[in-house]
Amino acid sequence: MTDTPVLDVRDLRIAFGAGRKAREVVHGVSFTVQRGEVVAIVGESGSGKSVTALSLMGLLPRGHGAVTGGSAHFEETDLITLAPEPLRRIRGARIGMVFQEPMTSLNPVLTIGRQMTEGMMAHGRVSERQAREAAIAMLERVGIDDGRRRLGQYPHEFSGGMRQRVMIAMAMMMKPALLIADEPTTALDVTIQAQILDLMRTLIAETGTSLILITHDMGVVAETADRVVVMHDGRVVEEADAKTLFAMPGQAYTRALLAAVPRLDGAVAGAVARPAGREPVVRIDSVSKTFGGRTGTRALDGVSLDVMAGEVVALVGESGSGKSTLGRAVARLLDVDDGAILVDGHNMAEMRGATLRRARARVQMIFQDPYASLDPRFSIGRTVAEPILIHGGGGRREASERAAALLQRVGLDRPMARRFPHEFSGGQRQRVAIARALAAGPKIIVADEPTSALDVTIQAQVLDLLAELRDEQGIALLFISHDLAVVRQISSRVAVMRSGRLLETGPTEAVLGSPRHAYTRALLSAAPVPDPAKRGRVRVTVAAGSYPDGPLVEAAPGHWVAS
Amino acid sequence: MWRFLGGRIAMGALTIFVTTIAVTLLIHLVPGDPVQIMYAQSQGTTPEQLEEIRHNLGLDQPIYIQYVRFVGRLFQGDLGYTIRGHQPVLDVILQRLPNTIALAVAAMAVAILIGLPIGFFAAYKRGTMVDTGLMVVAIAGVSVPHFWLGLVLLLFFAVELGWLPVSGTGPLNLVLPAVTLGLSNAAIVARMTRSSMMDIMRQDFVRTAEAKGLPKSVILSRHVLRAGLIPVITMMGLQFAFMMGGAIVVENIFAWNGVGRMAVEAIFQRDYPVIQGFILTFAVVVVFVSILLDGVYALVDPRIRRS
Amino acid sequence: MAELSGAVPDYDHEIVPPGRRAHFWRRVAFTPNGAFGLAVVIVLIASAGLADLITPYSPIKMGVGPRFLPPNGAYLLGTDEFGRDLFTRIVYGSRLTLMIGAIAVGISLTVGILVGLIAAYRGGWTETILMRGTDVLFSFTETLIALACVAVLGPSLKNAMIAVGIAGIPFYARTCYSAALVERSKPYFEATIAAGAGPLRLLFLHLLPNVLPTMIVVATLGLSAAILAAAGLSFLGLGAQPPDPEWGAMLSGARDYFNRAPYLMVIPGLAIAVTVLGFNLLGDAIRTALDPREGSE
Repeated sequence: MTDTPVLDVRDLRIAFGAGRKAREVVHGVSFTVQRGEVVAIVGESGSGKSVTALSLMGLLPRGHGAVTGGSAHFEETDLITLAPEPLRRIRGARIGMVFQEPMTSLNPVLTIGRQMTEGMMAHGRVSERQAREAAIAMLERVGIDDGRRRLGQYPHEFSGGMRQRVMIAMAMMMKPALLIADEPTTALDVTIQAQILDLMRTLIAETGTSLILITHDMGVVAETADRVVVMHDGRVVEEADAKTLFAMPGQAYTRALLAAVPRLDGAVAGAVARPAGREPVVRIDSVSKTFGGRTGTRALDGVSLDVMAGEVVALVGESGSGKSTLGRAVARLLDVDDGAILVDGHNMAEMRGATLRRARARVQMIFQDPYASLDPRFSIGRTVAEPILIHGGGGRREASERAAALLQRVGLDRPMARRFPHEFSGGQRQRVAIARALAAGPKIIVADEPTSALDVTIQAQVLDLLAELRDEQGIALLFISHDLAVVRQISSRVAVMRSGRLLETGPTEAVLGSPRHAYTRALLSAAPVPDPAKRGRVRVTVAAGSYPDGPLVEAAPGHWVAS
Repeated sequence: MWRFLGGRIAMGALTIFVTTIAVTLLIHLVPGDPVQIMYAQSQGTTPEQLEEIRHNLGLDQPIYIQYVRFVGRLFQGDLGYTIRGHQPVLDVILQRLPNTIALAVAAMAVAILIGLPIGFFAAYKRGTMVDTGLMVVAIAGVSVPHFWLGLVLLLFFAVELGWLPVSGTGPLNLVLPAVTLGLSNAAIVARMTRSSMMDIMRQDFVRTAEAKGLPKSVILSRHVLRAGLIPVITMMGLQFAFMMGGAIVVENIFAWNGVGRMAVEAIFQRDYPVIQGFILTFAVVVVFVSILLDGVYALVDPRIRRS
Repeated sequence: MAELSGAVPDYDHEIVPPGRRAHFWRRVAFTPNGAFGLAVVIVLIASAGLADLITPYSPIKMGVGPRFLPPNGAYLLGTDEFGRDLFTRIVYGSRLTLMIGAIAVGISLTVGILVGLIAAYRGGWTETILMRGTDVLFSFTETLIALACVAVLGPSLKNAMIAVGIAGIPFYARTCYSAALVERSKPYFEATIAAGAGPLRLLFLHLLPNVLPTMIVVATLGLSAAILAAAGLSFLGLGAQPPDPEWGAMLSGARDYFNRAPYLMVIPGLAIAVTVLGFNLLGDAIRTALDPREGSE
């Protein structure tokens, strides 16, 4: 590291809107990035981290924001005051950028080759041939073989993880002095995330490129960053090197942030107290489901699972594992092809019409997206009263009284019942959704990634609420999640799924503590750990089809593994 | 790609199938006795003659027999005979169809040549006075009735200035009807293009292209235009159908001897075989053109071409 | 800043959308487009409602004044070939225009919403049949459907309204269907299913209110299309018949005299154009006010 930083941001201010409507969202942010250094800018939504990154590149969306003050010196030039044309010559050539959404960040109608070479050709005096050779070499570097053929392909012929590799290759091809990665792994599965983070680290180490990593995920920070800038409400709260920050956070906000991060190690805060009942409230019996006709994809393949009364069972897996399909099948939001789903001893899959509608009260659901979870035209009191009204739980007045009580139970004041969803935050909306689920008086609630869209501090609050309800009301929970650390906080049993098959199920400590299945081990080793001291662990990987996925065998009491 | 095109062709076949049924039913939906209505205008038809005509038209048969017969004759290229003049309907239509298609194609060219650049430019300048101004003009363009626009153009260029012929069917006569029809649709094309391009400009990949430091002209021509034109192509089939529909009115203003003018006359004369033939022809042409454009679309969009 | 991309980093809820619904009508009325549209619609309604007070003449009785009198003090817009006051006919014509628009759009909207809602809600075969049928009709274009309807029913003002109404159904059905499909797949709708709500509750308490804003915008824009289409039919002689003071029919009648009295042709055409423009601008303003993505603030 040299003394002159690659990037020196001083007192950066950004405002949205213009004139009297202008609202400052970044209030004087300063930080530096040294040569070869990985700086993570971490913060929750609304912290201004993404806007800060975009402003450096002059990429703030037109009409939505503008830099109102400060400077950002990059290799002696101030990016903020630079004219558009010289700034363009720096973009891509000296500063590269990787975005969050690999599925939409590439142009669907241009070949990968075209998109990889055009930057180099626009910046340097290279022939198309030279650029293609460079692109092929770079693809190989990011682990994509057969580059010559791949260059002629289009983005839709690549998977999400592969596209992100292409994006990284595209940015690193120009050997930039600085790479800005804005949530580069947020949209990816955890095993892919681990690969992409490893790849980025290796590449920048080779070329001496500095990296600004924008993320909300403390695990990702701990795995990658040398230095951390914590942002909150448009300000830098704390800046420290990674080891110090995680070991001895200096600011209250950072401490709260770190405390809220669910972990795979250490003690669980609210240990599972209540013993599960002995009667299964839900019995899933060799359920199968295929989407898209006979030749379609098998989303569920002979899955059997019991959930006991008052028990929290976590269903974990990556995208495409079938975990959400199973959850929706239990709530009978979709019909299964084969097998039975017994709720309280009654097969929901065979019910029709009014019988089914009455039985639905037993299974309720909470969804991932808090913004779409509530009918925008209903007050939240009315939303929560809806299940009570449907099942004839007394008159309108009585229903709204109960609804208000439920809202109070989930932590929302009674007068709020008259307000509409758009007046609430994501976390509050998720509380309303929980109250609505409780209103029907269910035996089990299926919660499909209920905290994935929430900030980590809000997530902790919602998890606490769910744990309280579990303990005080004895409602069983089928908790669907991709995040093993979250699962560890709340569930007593875990079921691991992949490609529609159940691979391992058992008590949470057993499955997460001493996993028996190779895929479970791979998932665990890929999960980012919010502790820089634990960096550089050996990752376990499993290729598709190289693991047992036959019938479950009892490996230890209550611990079943696919054979 | 073949699966996509196969689906489109099947949909086209379905459309034509439904049309044949609709066209057979058409005559029966007419309130009252269609034969009597058809011949009400010709003098001295006796009830016996009407009965004979009914028999000749097959209207005394059960409806499914009528349908089978209709389709059977259709495969032999027989659309029946006109009530007025007793000519083969197919001949009457084929004689005029090229004129209508020429008008529709010329109008479409006018609409695209004017609408596409304006829409693209407005999207590029979005949110500015230029954009607002262009879009107000486009809304005004959509609002002007084309039958009125046609009359005004006729009054000005043909009657006042005498530059172009007032009516008839010839190459020079094509100018005014094509411009009339093209101008009112140019506004629609402009709005469509603008919204398509704006959708593209909002996409993440445009930001990626900017982050790469590509010059603005390259981003516009390579990334935005190319991706933005694809949805526009898919809309062109519908546009062509609009042109065919609009031609019905415009042909009447300029006495352009196409199938649209024929159809309106046939409605006045209650000449149902002609009306049936017209609807069927319209459906076939529209289906054919939209399949053609789907083919173009499949070739242009790699997501379809390579699936 | 960024010259081209308007991409908003929405995963980081840092850009707050403008207050929803609040001051909605103010946002409509305070744009130039919305203001003009509203003004046209208000004038139209006033002239339709107060026609008898606005003008002393009869729109139909011939020989009220001399024939072919150009616009002047006594006859604001001149007189036509039968010596009727053109201004009076235009004013009374607004009644017909509004009625045509309302009835035609009423037919399209009611049937279209029902078809779209049911197709989206039921799914399966119902959806396939309804929406494929709609697609077939849609590819025929409204002009042809309207023409076929008139061919069956015979030319008259009433039949033209029905024809235009029927012709509009596919478009409304499609729009409603796609809007309903979006709502149907949202978690709040699934949560309501999971709560045990019956079909009527789901359709009319949850689905309908959420597609209605979209449909109102479509209907406002659709009014202008319906007015244009009906005027077109009347112009061809397939809709309103003389002596009805319908603008399209008046335009058609004026064709024979356009050398002698061009104002007879210009004025009804302008009336149609301004009316249609008014509804178009109003619809556009409402849509912009509802859609935070449009415009640039």
